[in-house]
Amino acid sequence: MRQIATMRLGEQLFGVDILLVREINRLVDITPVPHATHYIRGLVNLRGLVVTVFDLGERLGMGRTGISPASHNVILKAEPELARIRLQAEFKEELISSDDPTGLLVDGIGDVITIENEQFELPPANLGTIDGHFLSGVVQLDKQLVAVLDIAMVLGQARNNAAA
Amino acid sequence: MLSRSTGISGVFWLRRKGLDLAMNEMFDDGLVSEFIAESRDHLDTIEPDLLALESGEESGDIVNRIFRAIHSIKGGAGFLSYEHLRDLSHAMENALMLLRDGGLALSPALADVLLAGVDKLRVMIDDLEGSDTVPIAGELEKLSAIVSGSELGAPAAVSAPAPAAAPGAVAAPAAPTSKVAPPGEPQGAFDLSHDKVRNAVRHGLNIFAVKLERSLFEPEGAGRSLAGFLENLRTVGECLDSTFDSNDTNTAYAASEVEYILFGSVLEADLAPVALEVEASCVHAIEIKPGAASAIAAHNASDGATTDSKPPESRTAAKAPKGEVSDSLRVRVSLLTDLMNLAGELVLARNQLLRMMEDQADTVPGLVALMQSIDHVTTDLQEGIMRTRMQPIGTVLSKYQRVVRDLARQLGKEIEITIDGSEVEVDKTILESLSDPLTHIIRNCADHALEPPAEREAMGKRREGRIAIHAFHEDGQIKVSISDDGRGIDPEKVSRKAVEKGLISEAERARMGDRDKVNLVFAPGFSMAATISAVSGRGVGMDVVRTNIEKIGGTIELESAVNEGTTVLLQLPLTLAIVPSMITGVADQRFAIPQVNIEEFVWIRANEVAERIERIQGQDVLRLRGMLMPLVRLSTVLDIDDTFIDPRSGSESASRRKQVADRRSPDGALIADDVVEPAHDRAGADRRVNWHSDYNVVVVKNAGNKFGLIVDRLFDGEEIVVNPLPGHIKDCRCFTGNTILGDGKVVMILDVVGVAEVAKLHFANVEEEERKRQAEERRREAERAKIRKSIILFHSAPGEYFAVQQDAVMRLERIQRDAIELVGNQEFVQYRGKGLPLIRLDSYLPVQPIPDDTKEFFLIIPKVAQKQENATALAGIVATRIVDAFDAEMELQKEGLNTPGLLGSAVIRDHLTLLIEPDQLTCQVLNN
Repeated sequence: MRQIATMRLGEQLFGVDILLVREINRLVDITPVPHATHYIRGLVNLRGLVVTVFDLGERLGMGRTGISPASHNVILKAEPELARIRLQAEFKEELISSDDPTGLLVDGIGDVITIENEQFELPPANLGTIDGHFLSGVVQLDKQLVAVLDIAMVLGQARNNAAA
Repeated sequence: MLSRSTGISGVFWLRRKGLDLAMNEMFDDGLVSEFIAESRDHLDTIEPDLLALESGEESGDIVNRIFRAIHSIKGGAGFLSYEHLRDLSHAMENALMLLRDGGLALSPALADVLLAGVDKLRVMIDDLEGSDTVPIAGELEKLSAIVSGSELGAPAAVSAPAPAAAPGAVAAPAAPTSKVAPPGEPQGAFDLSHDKVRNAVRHGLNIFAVKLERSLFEPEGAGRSLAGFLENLRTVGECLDSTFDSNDTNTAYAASEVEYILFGSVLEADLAPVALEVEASCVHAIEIKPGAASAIAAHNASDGATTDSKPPESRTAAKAPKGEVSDSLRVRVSLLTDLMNLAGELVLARNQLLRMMEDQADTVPGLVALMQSIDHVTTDLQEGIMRTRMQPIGTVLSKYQRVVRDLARQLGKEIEITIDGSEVEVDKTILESLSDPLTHIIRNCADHALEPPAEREAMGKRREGRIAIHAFHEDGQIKVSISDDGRGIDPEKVSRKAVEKGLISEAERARMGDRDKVNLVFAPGFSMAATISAVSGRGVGMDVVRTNIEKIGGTIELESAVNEGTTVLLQLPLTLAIVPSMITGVADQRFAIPQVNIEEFVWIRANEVAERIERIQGQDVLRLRGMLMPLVRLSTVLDIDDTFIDPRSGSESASRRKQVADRRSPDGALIADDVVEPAHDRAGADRRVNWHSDYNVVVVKNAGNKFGLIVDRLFDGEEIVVNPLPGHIKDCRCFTGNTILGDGKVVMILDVVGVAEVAKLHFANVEEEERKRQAEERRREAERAKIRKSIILFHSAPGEYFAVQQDAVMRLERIQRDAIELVGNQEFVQYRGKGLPLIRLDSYLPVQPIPDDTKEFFLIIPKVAQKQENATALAGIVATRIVDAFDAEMELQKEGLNTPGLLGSAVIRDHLTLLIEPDQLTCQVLNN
């Protein structure tokens, strides 16, 4: 059993293991970084902490994420925080983040869902335009399919630094 | 190393039979690391002290200080069972003792051995666990040779080798200690450096160690209780210390057979046992010189060889410097770093708070005062914490005394080094990264720059070469200059070598100034050794030095005069954490530029753009006070869409300028885009030049290169706390980091070097152009000077002034009217056997004729043009009077004087004067 925080890009629901999420906020006044990779949206100040914000839509090949009143920033835990959590967690291999704090810019957020392990299915090769590599699995809800993100892939983080 | 150890061991310990607990604590990691840290401090003081001693400074205090330091190391080493460390420090201590007592003089050989010993100790301290594998036999041998070779010989107790430790016992140092117990007994040690003890000694009390046996107090004994004994003791003196808890007499004492008390009293040694009602053998007097203090080490129970109630060694207890009590403490650097970061965040929060509360200031009474006080306290707090990271630069500089001394020995040179400004404080991080570059520079000085003594003398210099290190504050920066009075750097040699190595081209070399040539030594791949002296280099080039210095935000410059010496000037920031910066704006983004990179701000009005900005080889260039520098728009470098905000409607649209300056447009130039006003602006009813047409130029510099950066807006300066670049954007070359501004927004900090690289600025082209222009300017200047230089002023008809350039004239001749002969219309005189045609100016120029009654003339004979080399003289210009020959300043007017033979007119000495062009006149005469 695990908990997944869901978020929305267009009509598609995405999920991130709740253990990876530090907080979700409305910090969308993002300082762009010229010359940064296209999917790096910029930096925000999270109470004195500088967070690198990824444009999730751009990263997944779905185009640039627009800013609307519903826009949210999903702040992920950084490696140092995760290291502790990983010791007790069930799905260790998925709890990988970057060394610096990062965030995901999304169109909106959904509920936190609790799923049983058997609900969790392997990702398809691709989901619409999204490369299956970015997904660690999919969960079929009543009406919708939640694509659970492989954060290590999304953040471009090597897997070998996992404590698992 | 925030605290200076006082040389008094703070360790008080006690060894008791079968009591292992204390042992375990002793070998606690904390104790070992404390020992390491203290020993390093000691070694750091020993070295400069030895050098001072060698240079002949008043020795008494210094020897004592060295002695004390070595002694502390020995004590700790013995206690912790590091035998090699103990043995070597012991041997050094023996030599030092002789030195102090006058049994030895500090010979260079002794100094060498002691310094070598210090090095060995350092090696061992650095790797304590492996210290016993470090070979010390060589040093020991030399030391003992010196000690035994001394005439006075060593006091037996002192020169005796350290007693061998009994199996299972803690190896103990053997030398200066005060024994507190008779032989054959379990022993304890008291720390004589204890404040209580020192006070007692200062008050003239005698100190006794009293041995108490349990039997003394047993019911069948004298019938006394321990409490009663102590009470009695306190009536005649003071219990300074004890091996048991003297306040808890019932429990503590019962644990052991024998205990000791350190007793201070005015009583003399023979009266003390009587007063205390114990056997005289149980009371041992301890002789401590007033003010003396030293840790007493535990002694091996089985070794009684040197035990005495008044051990001679006790004299050796080193004097503690008056009032030298530690008022500093060691703090972990990581703690300071944390504090530093917290302070940084506090500053941010403060800034945000102030900004938010600004509006409320009027409505809430007392808020302004409160805000100000928070403001001040935060600032002070931050400064205070910053200062904790500051260390005197002397901690790094002082080691160069030794480096230079050793180098001088090795190289057979005589070198004197002076260090100035050791107290200047620098951030720890900067200090640490300063050591390697400085060492390299100093080695270069000693090795390459300074000549051997003989050579120096031959040149009329002092035998002793000089190296001076001077640290000082200037312009909010730390500057460190390293000067020598050596052979200097020959710009020609260096630049030729650079050409040889292919670092620069011959053409570039020709254009370089001496200063630039000298600074070629910083070029990567340049070897100083090959050019400056025959001594081989050390592999690390000056480019590494430069890189290291620039890495910490500093700069390095070199000045040199051949045979006079070289000065290397380092400029370093005070701290790395907080950087005063200028906030600039491009479109809707802001960027911080560190003040150190900013030279000045230039505002170019729209109507000046054409004359101040030009294009050289595809590079926009700003002309600033006769200087040319590359100019680039920050928005272009950063690929930011330059939005044009309409001043009237406030609507945004892409600026045309961006498109014009865009790389894709072939004719894109900054100048052009201002000629073409944005289309919609032109269509507006009141067409005008708005702010957008002006240029805000930030002139920035890096490593000697300057360039202009056009930004849209300039905001305030701010002291920013630098955050490193997060991993995901590390490859953005234009930035060094980011910061959070007072309004809570993150902004990027520009890396000036990166910006120049990304913009592909052609500094070389611009420099070349500038050199060309300067050359042109010099040429014109020279030309003007030529006219100014020298003229001959003369009259043709009286009152009319003529001038001819002196260097166009071959000779002046005086002739009489009679000498003139007429052939046809042409007059001649005989000159050097030939007929020389005469030129009367009035014949060729619209001027007055020479009056007929003139008896005497002067002939101005012009130089002959080179192609007619054989001809001696071709013609002579007739003058009635030579007024003067001098250097005149003139402004030549050419308007309205199109007559051949005339250069122009000028006012010379208040007279309108016609300047003659002799060649053309001569031609005219010859053509006739």
